[in-house]
Amino acid sequence: MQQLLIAFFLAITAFLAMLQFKSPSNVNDPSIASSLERIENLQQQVTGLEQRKQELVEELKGHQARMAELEKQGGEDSTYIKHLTQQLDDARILAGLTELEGPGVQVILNDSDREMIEGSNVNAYLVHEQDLLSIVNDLKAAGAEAVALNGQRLLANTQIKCGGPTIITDTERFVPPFIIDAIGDPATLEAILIQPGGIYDILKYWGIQINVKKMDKITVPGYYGPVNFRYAKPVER
Amino acid sequence: MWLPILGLILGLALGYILPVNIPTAYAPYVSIAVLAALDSVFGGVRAWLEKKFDIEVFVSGFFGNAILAAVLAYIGDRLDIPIYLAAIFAFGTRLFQNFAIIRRYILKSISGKDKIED
Repeated sequence: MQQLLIAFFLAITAFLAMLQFKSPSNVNDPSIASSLERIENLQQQVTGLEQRKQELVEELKGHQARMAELEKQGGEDSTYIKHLTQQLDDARILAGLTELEGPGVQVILNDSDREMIEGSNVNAYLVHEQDLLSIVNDLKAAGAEAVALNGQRLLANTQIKCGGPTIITDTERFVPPFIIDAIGDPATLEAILIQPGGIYDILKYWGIQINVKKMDKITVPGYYGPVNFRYAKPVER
Repeated sequence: MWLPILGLILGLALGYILPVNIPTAYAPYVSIAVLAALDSVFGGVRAWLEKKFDIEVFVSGFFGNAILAAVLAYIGDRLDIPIYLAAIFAFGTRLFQNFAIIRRYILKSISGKDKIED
């Protein structure tokens, strides 16, 4: 009886000891081990979702092309439909859903290539979302009619925000170099950027590579992300 | 004498096979509890060899020591006092003492000077 009791409690002790032995804390740091695994897992998920998104975007583009074709066909039958289609196209251009071309400027930005001054803040040598916002705002002030960042159309409600080492807009993440395409009067657009004390001067001070190029013809893609108005409704009069 | 060893093997096997995992946050406290439990078991073996084994003392000591050690270690962590060191000293020292006494009994029984009935 006594032996049985000792055996029983020894079994409990051995059970617990084995659990401890098995746990990864004895192999190496568990917090790092598990979190690395988790990070890898999440990274895979992100990669998978981004791939899926790319596929869906391609599909969407196909559908849009088909829709344009159908609208054109419908317009051939009746002048009324033709008129409506014309209005729809105008509205699309205004909303930024149409690919546009025209004269404009291309701004190419990259992080500083200058050697860092000892003790200075590394952030001063990087392109930040404020820089991009400032350039986009200047371009709009100078009458830019369509602006795209790295091939993504910027709409009226597009945000440009900081995402750690990247810059995030509505649907995309971007890393340098940043390419801003803007359609408008090339001379005016260039002038507002390179005016004394303007964004060009400020960024050049830190050695950030900024290049403003006037273009005779530049293409700005249409916006292809979702356009949802969940709260705003037209006012009925 | 074989029953406790059987229990040891059974416990190890169960712990190895069963898909139970201790959350890493509690691992230090469980290890202190294991030390306290081990001390109780050695104490029990010794008492049994000395024919002074008392079930109530053994069972209460087993659970009491294990839980107290774990709780004290936890409180110590919260208060930034390494109380678990006290548990390690207390139980560790006693564990070796008990083992020394058990060793003497076993050696005696092997040499046949003082036979212990099974």
